[in-house]
Amino acid sequence: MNYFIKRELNEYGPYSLADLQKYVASGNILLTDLCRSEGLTDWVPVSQVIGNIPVPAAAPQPAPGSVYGGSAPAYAAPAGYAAPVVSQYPPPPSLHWGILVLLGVLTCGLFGWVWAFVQAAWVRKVDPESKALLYYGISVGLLVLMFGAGFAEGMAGRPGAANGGIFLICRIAGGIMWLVAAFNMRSSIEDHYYSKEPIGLSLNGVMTFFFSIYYFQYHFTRINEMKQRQLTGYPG
Amino acid sequence: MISARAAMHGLAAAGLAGAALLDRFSPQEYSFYPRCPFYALTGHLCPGCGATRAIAELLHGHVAAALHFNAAVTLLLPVLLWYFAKMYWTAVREDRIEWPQIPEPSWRIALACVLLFAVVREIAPAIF
Repeated sequence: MNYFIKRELNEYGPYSLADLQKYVASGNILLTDLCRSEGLTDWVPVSQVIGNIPVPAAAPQPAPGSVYGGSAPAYAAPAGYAAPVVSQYPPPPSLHWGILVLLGVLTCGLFGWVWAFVQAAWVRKVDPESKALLYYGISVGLLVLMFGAGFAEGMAGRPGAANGGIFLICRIAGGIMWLVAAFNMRSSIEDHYYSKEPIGLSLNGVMTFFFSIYYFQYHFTRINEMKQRQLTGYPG
Repeated sequence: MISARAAMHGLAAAGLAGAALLDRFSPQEYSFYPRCPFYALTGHLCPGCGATRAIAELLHGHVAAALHFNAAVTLLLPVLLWYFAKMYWTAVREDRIEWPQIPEPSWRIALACVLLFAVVREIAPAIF
């Protein structure tokens, strides 16, 4: 029996069960990818298909710097294929940076606040030591506190009171924490892409200061596209 | 870590709560809604300015008034809701987040139109 694999919107295959085991062992197919057997329509996680069937030992890791730089198509690998190209780490958030910019400008930056948490949550997965999520939480918490205080003032019939004094300090503190979070995340991302998935990613400090999440998302989009090209074998 | 399903339920609940807030407390009568940071800093309208009032008008079925406050958000809102509904449905059924894969020409055109809208609204506000 042959199987098809689905990751996000793309489908691959068909593969025999032996091939499926081989690609799971090498890391090309993840246990969380979706799978269906030929003739059926329901998708289930690969882990349910592989079940308790033992998989061969993992193949050796590729040399540093070659993880996303090569052109070998993972899913179209010939028999005897050995070099894994898909990482064991979850891919970064895959929303295209252009769409993030569009949603950011349409919401006066509010969507950017939400997206910062999405990015920081991913960074936390690949670097459990990261404090970016905490710092973003404090930053947005201060701004939400101001909104809450403004709401209370507005309801009490004193609109505009939330624009000065302690609120200004909260606003500045929130902005500073935002920058601290952005640079903390930058450090974690660079560490990750230098050591665990070595593609030699370097993030510019000035761009991080001014564009932070949009700039990170630009690189995440690029990395996801490179991964996708490797999976499908298309040169892009 | 919260599941994709729980996250999308939370987002949907937050959206409904926001809609209820807008419905109950009109942004034209109550001043507690957060101000646009770009407008506060520069005094110029950003592409998103007026979105809160536009959505509030849409909630009451006043499409013309919504277009007056922010035509870009009013016209793009159905598209955004459609993509959110798709993400929500995928999360509920398969407990995973599937970010929208919008064709590149589409988002480029949309972004260009939104920026053009911001410029035109700034130099010729009478049009809107």
